[in-house]
Amino acid sequence: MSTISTVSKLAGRKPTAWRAIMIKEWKSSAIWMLTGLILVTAGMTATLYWGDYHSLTAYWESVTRSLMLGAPLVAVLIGALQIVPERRRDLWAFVMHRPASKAMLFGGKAIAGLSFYAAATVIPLLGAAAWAAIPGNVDGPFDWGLTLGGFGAILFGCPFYFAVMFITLRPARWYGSAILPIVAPIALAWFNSAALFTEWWQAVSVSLIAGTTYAMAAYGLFQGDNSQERTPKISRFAAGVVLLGCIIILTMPVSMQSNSNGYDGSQWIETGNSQQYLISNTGELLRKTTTEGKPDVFEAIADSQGRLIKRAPVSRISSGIQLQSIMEAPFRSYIDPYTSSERYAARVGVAPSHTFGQQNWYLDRTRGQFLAYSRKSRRLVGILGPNGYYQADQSGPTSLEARAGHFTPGNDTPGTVGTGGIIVLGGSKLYLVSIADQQVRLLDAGIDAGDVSQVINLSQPSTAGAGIKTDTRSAAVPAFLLASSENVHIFSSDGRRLLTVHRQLSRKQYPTVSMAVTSSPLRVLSLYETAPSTQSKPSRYIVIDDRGRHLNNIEVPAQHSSDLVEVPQKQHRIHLEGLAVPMAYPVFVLILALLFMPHGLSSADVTMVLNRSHLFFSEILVSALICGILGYLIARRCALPKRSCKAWAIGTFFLGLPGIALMLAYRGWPVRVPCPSCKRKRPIAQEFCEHCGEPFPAPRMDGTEIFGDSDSLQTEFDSGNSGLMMPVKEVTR
Amino acid sequence: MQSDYVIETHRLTKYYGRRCVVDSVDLAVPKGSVFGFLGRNGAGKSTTIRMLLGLVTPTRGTATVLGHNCADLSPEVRGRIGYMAEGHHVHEWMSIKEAGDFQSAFFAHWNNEVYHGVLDYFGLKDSAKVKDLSRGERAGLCLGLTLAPEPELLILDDPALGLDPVARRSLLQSMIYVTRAADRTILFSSHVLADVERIVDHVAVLDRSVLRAQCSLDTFRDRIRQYVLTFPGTPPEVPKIPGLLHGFRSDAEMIVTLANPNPETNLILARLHPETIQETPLGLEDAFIDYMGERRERSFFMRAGDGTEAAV
Repeated sequence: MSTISTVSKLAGRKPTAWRAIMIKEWKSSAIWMLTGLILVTAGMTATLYWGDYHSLTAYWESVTRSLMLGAPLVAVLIGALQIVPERRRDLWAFVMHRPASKAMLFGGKAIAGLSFYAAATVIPLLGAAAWAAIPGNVDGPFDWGLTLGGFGAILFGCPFYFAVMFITLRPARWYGSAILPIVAPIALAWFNSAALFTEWWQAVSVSLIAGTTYAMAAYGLFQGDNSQERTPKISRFAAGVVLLGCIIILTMPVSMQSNSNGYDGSQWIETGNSQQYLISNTGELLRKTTTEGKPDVFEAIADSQGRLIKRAPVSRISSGIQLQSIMEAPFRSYIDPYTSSERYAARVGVAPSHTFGQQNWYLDRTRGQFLAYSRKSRRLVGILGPNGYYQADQSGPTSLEARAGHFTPGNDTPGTVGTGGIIVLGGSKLYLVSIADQQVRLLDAGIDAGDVSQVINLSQPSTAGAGIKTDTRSAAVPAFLLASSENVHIFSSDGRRLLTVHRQLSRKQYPTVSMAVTSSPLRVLSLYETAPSTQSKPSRYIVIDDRGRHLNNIEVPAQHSSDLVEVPQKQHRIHLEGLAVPMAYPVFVLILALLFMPHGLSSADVTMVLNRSHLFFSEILVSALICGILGYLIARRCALPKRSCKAWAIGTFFLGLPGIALMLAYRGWPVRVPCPSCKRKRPIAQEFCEHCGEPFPAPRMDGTEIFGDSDSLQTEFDSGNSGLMMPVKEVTR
Repeated sequence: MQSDYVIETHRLTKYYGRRCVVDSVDLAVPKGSVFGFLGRNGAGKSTTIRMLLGLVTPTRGTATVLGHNCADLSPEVRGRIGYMAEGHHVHEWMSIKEAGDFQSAFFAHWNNEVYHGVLDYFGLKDSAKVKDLSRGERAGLCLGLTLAPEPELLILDDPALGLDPVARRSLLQSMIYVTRAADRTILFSSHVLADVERIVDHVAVLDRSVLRAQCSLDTFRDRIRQYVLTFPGTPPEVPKIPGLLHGFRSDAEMIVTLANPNPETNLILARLHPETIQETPLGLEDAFIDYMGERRERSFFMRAGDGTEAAV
């Protein structure tokens, strides 16, 4: 009867168990992969269609945002549909009862599921990239870095996949508890979309850690089938981390709400005097004193040459120029997060736009070149590099890119200066780039560009450009300055270095330096201040002329910023904010301060915590005690060993209400039934009663039970010893 | 020391919430036996089977299968246990060939002759899709998938569920032929008592989560007796007899079905002073039905003098 040829064919190419699992998963879930692919593609297309899909920034923003929503949805779809249809009891039995380890079965599902998820999300992203790379489609350059935002969104979908597996495998009694594990992936995806991860490696790390934790938790449920004993310890730990993390994320907005700066019951206000130095329009150093409830008082401290003058009150001034903090420890200017298209193709603002008409300019950080794109054709029309500007239609033996040259790629930190002039830092060279004129000028080669940390436009009224008087006769009008940690270089608008000023006093004694620059005559006004903790020590005010000579170096009183003090509100409110804060919070802050903060326990965060009202801390303590007791009682109800009860009590003491929620989500509410012996309630999972020590009794017998095999009954009848008074007729068949 | 039992449970209990669905079951399935696991719907048979296979975690108690703790069955042990669940679930998108390829990939030993023998018996073709099969054909496929690895222990949970008589007979016959191998043990739950009678040699009966019987088929048959007592007039109330399964009174007779009758039982019956007491032979099916049915007394009187007609 059997088909021999079929049998031999089967025997000849018998698949391995792994391959069998993968093929089965692929075949059963391929339809969902296709569905996800269509959904993501459709969503992305619709988003692009309804936006401006020819604009570089808008294009990539639409692609990234559609994936930020679509990727989690696809992950949830695939994760759920890999488990839910098979969870019907006997199909699950068909899946699980076979000579294969649970790790293999789970791994097969996960590999197949993740590969489907990747296909459903990466293919549309690559399609979007391919379309953008075609010249004429998008009005800007293409760089593979532009896809990182999309890949980041895809990465953050992975925790959703395992979270849904965790949800579908976990038998939770309450709907809230059942859906709880999805909270953390939502929060992480939001963090990513809000550009809180500035670097790609941060996004990869966080998503990998989250995904791995959820995967371990889901595997534990798969392996243990809701039995704590059968669940690997690492998976139990992962499940606890998942649940606790989600609970904290949910409760944090509640508990932190009342912990924000407006503490319920008190308020932080500025009190006392504060002082601030300003430069007047005539170059004098003025000191403004602010007292609450009184008008500001202005005193002239030094003249325009830095000479101390008798403090003379001046009439209220309408405006003054604040000194710009300068020569800070080297810092990088703001770098766009990896999700932003500006990171890879920074749109260069050019003004006035009518000068250029129909061109968009970008700084391609990867190539280190400025690229001009036609708004009409969306094609590259020219490249501006250190060698100058070259039009795209200019033919030649060397490529356009090579002819224009490269500023140092990837390391450029342009600062916008003046009207369309841009400083480009290229290795050890500085260039003044004028988009408007399509010209590049090499600036003073003696400055190490790698050292420059600030580029300040002196034409802005709020920055160090006090009292600029335009003198058209002089080409020595300071236009911008470049600052490093030890030097400040002042340049004219045509790129000539006018003056270099070195740090005058040691950083250790005077860590903070503020500066203003005046023109006609060119003067540099510097205020050197001591550390905040030594504010009683006077500051030094130094004025330097256009030849770098000290005009004056005087001592001036230190300026104080206003103190913040907590003032109790005279309102009759019930102070409840402390009840929501776990004991772990102040402990965590203290430990963090001791280990990581430079000022240790003097850190502002610690001060803020310790300056809270006593009522606040009392509430925390009361709440912690109540939660600790509750935790102990719940553990006793679960009939846990005494050691576990104590551990849960300590845990809930520190974690507070989130700890109680974790306990209920993790362990569930134990079922107890009355003990048949002592009538007190006892857990059903324990054989012996915790009160009377009696085991659960055997089921009551009613005399109809038939156990064992015996012929004794038949023998009695046969011998006639039944003792019956009436004849018994045994009816034979 | 190797046990004579392939399945042993000790106070095996399962709760769903507060509801006890399996209560302190002590099961012992002898090696080499064909063991019928009987009970009404909702008695707890399937739950017990799932606990034996480690698919459901017991609330209390222990169970061992082939000497291994059910909670920790290794892949090797699972390879020695064949399980056919009620409902005959296989992925519907699979073809018969794909189902065979999938299942065979996991087993070191796969008897293609057995597999295809069963398929041929049910007239199944490799290219057919599972979703297009009738219930009987699907049962045949599942049986083939279960028998082909030639497991030491077969656990069949209501394998004939939903099958018509012809398909049921085919299934049963194929089971009989294949399971004739020595030392193969079968645990087989069913509602079709005629099938049970044909092939099992031991039975266990689960009644509302409690194990009420566990013995050989002959012993079971032997321990259930039915007596017909005739009376000149209205029969008296059915007395309280140990082991009474149910009693029925009509106009002139009383029929009592008893488990474990003994001389004391006969004495009690004799004290009712019937005209005659006759023992009526019970078929196994009737014995099972009476054993597993409601344990109560019923009456049905036709005579007008009683003025009542009780529902049976």
